[in-house]
Amino acid sequence: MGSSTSSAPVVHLDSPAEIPPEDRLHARSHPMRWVTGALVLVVLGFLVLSFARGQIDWGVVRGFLTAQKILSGFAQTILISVLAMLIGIALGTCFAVMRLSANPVVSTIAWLYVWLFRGTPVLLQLMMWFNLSLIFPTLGVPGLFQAQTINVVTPFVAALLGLGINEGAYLTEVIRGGILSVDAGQTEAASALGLSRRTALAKVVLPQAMPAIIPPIGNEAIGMLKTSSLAATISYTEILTNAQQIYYVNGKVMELLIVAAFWYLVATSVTSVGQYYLERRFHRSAVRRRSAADQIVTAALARLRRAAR
Amino acid sequence: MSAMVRIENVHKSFGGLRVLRGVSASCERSEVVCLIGRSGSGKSTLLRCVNHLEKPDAGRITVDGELIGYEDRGGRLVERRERDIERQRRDVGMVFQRFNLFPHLTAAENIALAPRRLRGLGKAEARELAVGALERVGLADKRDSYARHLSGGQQQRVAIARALAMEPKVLLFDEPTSALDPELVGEVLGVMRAVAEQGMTMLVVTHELRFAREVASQVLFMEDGVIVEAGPPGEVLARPRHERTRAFVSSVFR
Ligand SMILES: Nc1ncnc2c1ncn2[C@@H]1O[C@H](COP(=O)(O)OP(=O)(O)OP(=O)(O)O)[C@@H](O)[C@H]1O
Ligand SMILES: [Mg+2]
Repeated sequence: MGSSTSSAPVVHLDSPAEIPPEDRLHARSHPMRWVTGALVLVVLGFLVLSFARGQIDWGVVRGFLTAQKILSGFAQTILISVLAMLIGIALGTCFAVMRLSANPVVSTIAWLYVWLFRGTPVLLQLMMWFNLSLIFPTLGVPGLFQAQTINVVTPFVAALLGLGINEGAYLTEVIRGGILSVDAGQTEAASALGLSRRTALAKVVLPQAMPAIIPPIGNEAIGMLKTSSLAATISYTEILTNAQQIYYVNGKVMELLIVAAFWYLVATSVTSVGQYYLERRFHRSAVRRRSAADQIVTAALARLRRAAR
Repeated sequence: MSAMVRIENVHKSFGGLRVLRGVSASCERSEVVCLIGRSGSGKSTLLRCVNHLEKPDAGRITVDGELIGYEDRGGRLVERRERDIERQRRDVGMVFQRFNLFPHLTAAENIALAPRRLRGLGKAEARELAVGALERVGLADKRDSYARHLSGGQQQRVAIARALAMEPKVLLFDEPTSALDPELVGEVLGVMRAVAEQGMTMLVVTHELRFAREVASQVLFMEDGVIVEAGPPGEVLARPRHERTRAFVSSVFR
């Protein structure tokens, strides 16, 4: 340091308010953020305006938003997404543990599962489940029970199997990565105490893998809400199928697609909020950089909660 | 005379690297044995064989007369079932250089986990046991703290309490003070000394030669996978017979 810089006086203060203004240090100002923010607002305003002036019958949109057929389709979308996600998480956990097994047979089976179901399009898998009856007309265990495949593998079951098993392959990799992110010393400490591998996994390793697992599972859940629309191709009646059926009759194509988009956004937004709280729960110690929108939403939620009390 | 820990002619290689080349040692009930030696001489590997975290290639290790990790099947020693190994590990506590506390659990929960699962204690009982164990290491007031809010020395004391809570027959320490700031070493050694005085059988890998001299009844000097010299600390540390031991001791004492 040169002698020209006078050293700051050493003072002991009880509160920051006592710091004299000339001694205060200031945060850097960011003028460009205001400029870009204003630009974005202009573009957004333009977009909103053009949609409002476009040839969209907003009355139809409003009318069909809560139409029975749309709402029941939305319920089907939620149902299949939640169930397929649960199947995916169960399979993913199971196969992730298998892939990490010391038993080469077991880990190879898990590797094959991921290879097969991650390596082919989910649309193709859905179609294969749906058409299972072409190769296996009947299902069952000889002598125990027997059933017509067509009666067992309904569009719902085919969609559930297709989406759930495909999701499981992706989550296998996510959960395996999470488990590997936990320090090996943790498993050793658990083993040294005499805990079984299963207990060590459930009580020591998986809880610590959660911060690494939850964000991608949240992304996958949001992806699933949208991917479930592929089930329309195997005549599972979810929201997009129903919207299509309505616009085939009344010709209001864009209006009904906007209705469907609205409900997808509702579902994905709720999922994001859930993901946010889960992340916070499993990541108590981490200080995270949050976006402005995120901060506004949390502040609003907090205010709502206070008002409710 | 039945030793608490008996190590007989243990060999272990990693790939082509021969890390243990015929190690034999024994440790009586309530005895403290210190294992010293240069980095890479195989101390940790030997210790980890005692609770079967490492599988030796040859030789036998018994704890309280029971063969660890293997069983005799018609004259052949075959590795035991996983459940048997888990049961054997309950009797052999281990304290690690890097503490390895479970960071998502409080100090008391760290200690209560294994007794709850393995000794069938209820939640309240296990917590009581945990608090008792924390009292033994002078940290009862930290029962609800997470590891990240504890100093290194406190974390290691919790780790010792966690091992003690399983009431093991032997406690293994792998350089328990090497990861600590110098001013925190004393509190951990103090706890170890107290545990030794209460009659625990201890096998300690350490570079703290003063601790070895004052607490150990036997010091083993290891180099290149063999025990070069063994005896009471007054001999091995004060009047080493082997040139290599002498060089090591003087390099550590400076
Ligand atoms: N799992 C392993 N795989 C391969 N090599 C290993 C493994 N564990 C240890 N080694 C090697 O075995 C040798 C002895 O290691 P060990 O950890 O037993 O030494 P140490 O005496 O404890 O040394 P330190 O004082 O550094 O802890 C070293 O060369 C080490 O690199
Ligand atoms: Mg070591």
